Order: sequence, then structure tokens, then C-alpha cells
Amino acid sequence: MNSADLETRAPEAGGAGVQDAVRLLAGKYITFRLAREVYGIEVLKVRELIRVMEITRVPGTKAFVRGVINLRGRVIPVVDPRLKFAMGEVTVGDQTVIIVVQYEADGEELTMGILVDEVLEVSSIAAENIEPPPDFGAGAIDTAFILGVGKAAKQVVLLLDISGVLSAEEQEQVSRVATGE
Amino acid sequence: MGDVDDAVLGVFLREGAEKLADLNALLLRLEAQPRDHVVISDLVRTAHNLKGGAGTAGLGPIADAAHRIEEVVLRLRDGTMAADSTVFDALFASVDALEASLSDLTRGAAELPQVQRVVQAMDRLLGDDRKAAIASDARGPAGFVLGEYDHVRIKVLRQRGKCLLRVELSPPATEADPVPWARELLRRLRRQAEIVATLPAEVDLEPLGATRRLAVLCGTDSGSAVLEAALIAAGAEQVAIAAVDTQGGTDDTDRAPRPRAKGSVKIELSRVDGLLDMIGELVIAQSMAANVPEIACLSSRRARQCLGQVTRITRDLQDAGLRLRMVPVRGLFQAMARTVRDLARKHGKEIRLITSGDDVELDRSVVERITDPMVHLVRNAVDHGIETPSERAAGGKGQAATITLAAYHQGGSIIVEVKDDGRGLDRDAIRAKAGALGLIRDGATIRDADLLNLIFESGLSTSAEVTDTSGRGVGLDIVRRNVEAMRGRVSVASVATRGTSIKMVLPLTLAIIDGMLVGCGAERYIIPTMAVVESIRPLPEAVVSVAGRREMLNVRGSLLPLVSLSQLFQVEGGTLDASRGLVVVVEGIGRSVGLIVDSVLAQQQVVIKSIGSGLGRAKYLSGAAILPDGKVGLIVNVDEITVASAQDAAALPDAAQSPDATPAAGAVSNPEPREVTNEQR
Repeated sequence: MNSADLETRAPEAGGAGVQDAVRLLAGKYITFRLAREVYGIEVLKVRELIRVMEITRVPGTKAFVRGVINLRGRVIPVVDPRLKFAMGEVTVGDQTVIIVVQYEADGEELTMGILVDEVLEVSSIAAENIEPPPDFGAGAIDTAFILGVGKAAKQVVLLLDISGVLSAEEQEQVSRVATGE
Repeated sequence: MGDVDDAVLGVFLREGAEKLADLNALLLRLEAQPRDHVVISDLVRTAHNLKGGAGTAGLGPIADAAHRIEEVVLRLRDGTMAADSTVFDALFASVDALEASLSDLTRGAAELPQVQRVVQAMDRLLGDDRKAAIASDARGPAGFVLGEYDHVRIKVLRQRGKCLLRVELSPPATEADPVPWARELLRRLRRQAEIVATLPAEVDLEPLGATRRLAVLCGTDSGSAVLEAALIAAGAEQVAIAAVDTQGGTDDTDRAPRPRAKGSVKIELSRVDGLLDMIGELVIAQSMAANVPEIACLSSRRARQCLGQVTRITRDLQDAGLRLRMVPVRGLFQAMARTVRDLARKHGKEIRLITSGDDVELDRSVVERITDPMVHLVRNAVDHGIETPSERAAGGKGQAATITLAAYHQGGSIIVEVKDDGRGLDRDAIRAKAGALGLIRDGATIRDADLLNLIFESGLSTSAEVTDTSGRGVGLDIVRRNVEAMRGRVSVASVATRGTSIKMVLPLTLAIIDGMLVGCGAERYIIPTMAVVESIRPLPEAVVSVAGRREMLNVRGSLLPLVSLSQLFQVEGGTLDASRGLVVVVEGIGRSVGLIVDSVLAQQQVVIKSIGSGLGRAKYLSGAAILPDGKVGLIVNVDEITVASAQDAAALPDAAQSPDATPAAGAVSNPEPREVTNEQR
């Protein structure tokens, strides 16, 4: 599973492939705020936005997993990307929103809530306004979950790879939990 | 087969598999009661439908094979073929071969080598029979090959008051080719009688050239003398006419009324599950609404009545929804009947299979998951439990052994039992083997039930010696694992020389459990009620610390390890000290453990949900459920906690201990090795 992951990501890693990969990123994004940074998630992957409800903590899980919520009878996990990115946890306030995303990982449909400080808008980002993810040097900052950097309305938007929010190893655990009961 | 419409093929593959399962079941019944006409008719119909289905799907070879099976069964019905074990073996083998062919097809195979073997096997039977029929005496069984429609015609003829005659005649010796002669004769005969069937069949009169003997089954108003005269006039020699016994083999008019299959629709499982999900949401939404404070305190009587009705309907809907997934255990039992038959023949044992509770319904996935355990249990019973006929006779038992499969409800669970009247378990052999494996200490006293339960240990099951000497063992650990994975239990009872019974106690459904809602700090957890033994508010003096490490609770003289749920789940502000909280005694695979909680909040039926993906491994939790207030509660995995507690005390965080806790010296000298009696539950 790890090697497959690497293969799919390989074209983004360098050379002429980078530009192609970046071009594919063009499209509509929901932008949101984490602390003072602006991130974007592909609209097609977003199922809905919901107000924060009481989250049930699940003991024994990774720190960035805030817990689970009841999404109309379905139990879905809610992750706090600020904890994942070491930005200090999201403090729940009036503007706090859970973005419910749905995506496929290893043939398994995953639904997950992402806790964000504030949802901003839906913006179209054209290919020419997208740059490959910056390289901060080995080991400095893990940019695996950043697909690229977009510019929209004078803002810099970090385009988030939601499946990258969970590391490959975590993904594996996910599918094991999902199938193994 | 390349241009077969996939959809048609899909339908056939599904329905064909069912038809074959039906054939199997019907054959088993017929073997038990070879004269049962209702069963034979069902067999004919099923084989016929299979033939039709295969034809529609463009599977000529399978249709051919099904046709041959139908032919054989027809002869069984007419009594032109003896219903002996050779025939049944061939029929069973054919059904198996067709089943294999269907699964080949499902996998996309183009060649179906098995089918040809079916055709050949059936032809062998039919070939022998053809000769036998020709040689058979005229006053023997009616001898005609009758289809479903022919039986209807016979019935109608009888109703019209005609008498049914069997006419035998031979062509004149001068006639070189009797076929045209026979056609002409039959044409004339039709003027006076209604022909139901002929032997050889009218469509293929060729065999007449060799046999020079034609038999006709017909209904007529004319007396037999008139008919005889007419036939002789038509050029027949040696005419013999006999009335066919109206209650004879060809008669199936007096069918006993039988339960008609209820109408049914086939629905894709995903749709059912989708519906169940929605019902689940409705149930939750309803209980959330009812729990909203503004609504809960409504004083209007009418509003309360309406709410009450909504509640009731929702519950009914939930029950009805769950029943959608339920299937009777009949199919499973039928499959076992076949296993028993084959094994019994293979081992030269005489075994009668009795089933009861065939209509008891279980969740579909439960049935799927107990299929393998059932096969294990039945196989064990036949292989090891039941003696050979001579051994039985020597032991003063009837030669035929009995295996009983029973399903019944008991206190919210469903029990599926496999019972044999064989030699029973050999306790000495179990003890010896368990001793060798280190499961029990030499000379240790052990309760009989615990000793018997050792057969579910994996070490014992894989050992060939024990299997040979005491019987039992192959895969019994898997049986237990499968059943316990569904929150069920297995138990065994055995009396030497009288037999063994193994019970699987299964939950009604995997989707809903009764839970005990407990509070830990500000959090709530659900403990499956099935695992709960009791809850205790312990006196401070009943809590003892062992070796300064772990807290134990003295429950009526035996020491119970304690685990603080709040500590296990790192709950802020939860009770860590047993004497300040409540102890819920739970029983899991490993052993019993006392869970320290703050309070018991409610007993609650909850719908189990997957804990949600994206969480990684949530230790000590088995799932989640939506609580009536709409929040998510987590379900405690009792087995995991007890196993961890039993395997290694250090695997669990120690229960809280005050520094001044004095080790209860002498109370327990050694906490680690535990008596096998404690390990076994």
C-alpha cells in the first residue's frame, strides 16, 4: 500500500510531471481558516458543512482525532488539522465549522469531519495561479498533505490533500478498522 | 456461451443456486421416504424449472443435464426405476457437479467439464432403466413416462368418469417396419380413446423395431372388449387390456394439502441495509425529539398522545426492519443434512438426522458466520462422536445413531444445538492432553464443566492423538472463536456412552445490543449487558491490594481483579478508587473483571455502529452507538479488557492505589498463575 502511494505521488515530486500535476489541481475550492493561514479543499470532496456539535472523545486514538460525532445517525470521526500541523488545537467558537469530506482510500469510502476555525468562501483557482508545494528542505515541515499553493483574490491558499492528512500508515489502520469490525 | 446476456445469466446463477439447494433438500427427503409423491412432484418441478432457466440463459449443457435429472426423477415417480442408493448417489453427485458448474460460471469459466459428467451419469441410469422397462412384466408398474401435464390429464379423465386402460399390443409379424403401423394404429385408437402416453413414447417409436411391443395408456368410455375388437380390426396382434389401478403409482390426485410457499420478492441486500440505516436514523431522531426539554415537559394531552404514537410506530418500524434481515435456519440445517448423509455413508455409519426449529430466524450474517462452525460440529459428531453400528450394537444401543440439530429461543438469545447420541467425550483423554499442554496442573481439581470446556482450546483441537482417542477437537477452537466474535457463547454437555451436545448461544441480531450506560467523569460508556454479571457498591474493606500492585475486590470470598474504566480511558475526573464508585462485574473470554465506574445511568438498547473510520485502532472499544440525546456513546470491548487482564496484569494500567495501601498479606500468595477454573470463562 505504501509503494502504491508513492507511485501515485511520484509525478508531483519533480521534473515536467510537476506542472501537469499542478494543472490538474485547477478547480473550485472551499477555503477556510486555520489560525491565520488559509487552506482549501476541493469542493467535490466536500459533502457538507455542519455546525460544531458535541464531540465524543475516543480514548486511545491519535491526538489530532478529536473524537466522533453523530452525523444523522452515522458515526464519523472528526479530526483537528491544527493538531496535526502542530498549530495548537482549534478552540470551538461561533465561527467554528466541521467540514464533512468524503473520499476514497483503497476502494473504501471514508467520511470524516474536519474541524476548522472559519469557512471563508468557494473560490475558483485557475491552473496558472497554482504552484507546486514549496520545499522547506528535508525534515523541516511535512508537506505531504499540501498538494499545491494557489492564489485567489490576493490570498495564498494552501491546497489540502485530505487523504494526506491521514498518513499512509494511518490509512491502513483505517481500512483495517473499517473492514475488520 | 459468449453472447449470453449478463443480466439473464446473473438471474440464472442466483436462482439456479437456489434450485440446486432445493433439489438437494428434496432428494434427501425422497431418500428418507421414497414413496412420497409430493416430494417427487416437487423434484420434477424444480428440475424442470432449472432446465428452463438454463435454457433461457443460453446454457444448453446445463439445461441438458437438468433435463436428464428430470427424466430420472420421472422414472422414480413412475416406479420404472428403483429408488436405490446407486440412483441417489448419482443424483446427489449430479447436483454437486451442477453446483460446482454454477460457481465456475460465476467465476467466468467458459468450459463446464462437470456438466458432461452429469449427463453421462444420468444417461447410464436411464440406459439401464430403459432396458429394465422393456423387460418388465405387463402387470408391473404402469411403466409410462408421464410428465406433469399427463398427470393433469389423467386427473381430468377420471373426473369425467372415463376408465383408464393400459393396452398392450404387438404389430403383426408380417410388418417389417412397425413404426408407420403403430402411428396408424394410434390414430385410429384416438377415435375411441384419449391417449395419455405410450411406451415407447409416440415421438420416438424407433425402439418398437426391436421390442415389437407397444403399450398405450388411455382413457375411454368404451368397454375393453369394444376397444380390443377395434384394435384387432386395425391389425394388432396379441392385444392385452388391463384397467389401471386408480390408486396406483400414476395417481397423484389425492395430494395432501401442504403449506404453500408464501409470496416473496427478491431485494438486493444493499437496499435492505439502506432502509435499515434510514430507520435507524428515524429512531434516533424520534428519541432526540422526545428528549428535547421543551417537548418532554409538554402538558398537552393530545401532544403527548401523538408523541406516544410516533414512538410506538417507530419502534414497530425498527422491529420490522430488523426482521428483514432475518432468515430461517432451515437452509443451514438442510445443508447439514447433506453433510451428515455423505459422511455417514463414507464412514459406514447409520445416522438419522432430526431437525427442530427449522423456522427459527436468525440474522443473515449470523447464519453465514455459524455455517462453518456447524460443519465442524456435525463432522465431529459423525467422525468421532458416533460409534460404528457394531459398536453401538455391542453397547446395547440401536444401530442407527441420531444427530439432532435444534434451534430455539431462550431469554433473548437463540440457541443452535448439535446433539448426538454417540459415545460421549472421553474426560480422561481431555485431562491427559490438557495436562500435557500445561492447561491444567497434574492432580488439580477441576469442575467437570470446565474440563469439558477445554475441548475448545486450540492446543487440544489440533492434536491428532486426542482426536483419535477421545474424538472431538478438530477446529473446535475456531467454533468458539467464530461464535464469540458475534458476542455469543458455546457450551458443551456430555454423558459417557449417551452422547454429546454442543450449544451455540447466539445474539438475535448483530445490529442491536442491550447495553448498560455507565458514567465516568463527564463521559459515558456502554457496557454490553450480556457481559455484565452484577454491579456492586463495594465496602472499603472488600478492596484489597495484591502485591502492592493491583487492586482486587473480594466478592463472596473470591478475588476479582479491578480495572478503572476512567483510568483505562484517561477520563478526566473519573473515579479511580473502587470504594468510591461502583464496580460492574463483567465476564469476557479471559475471565471476570470488575470495572470501576462512577455510576450506572441507564439500561439501553442501542444500535451498534462502526466506530467510524479514520481513527486508527481504538483499543478496548468495540463500536459506537447513538444515545437518546443524539450524542455518541462508545461501546466497551469487554473481551479485550478481560483478555488483557488475564494475559498480563501489566498490560492494563494499574488500578489506582493509595500509597498507604497495605498488601493483604496471605490473602493471595501469587497473583499470576491462575487456576484453570478461572481461565475458562
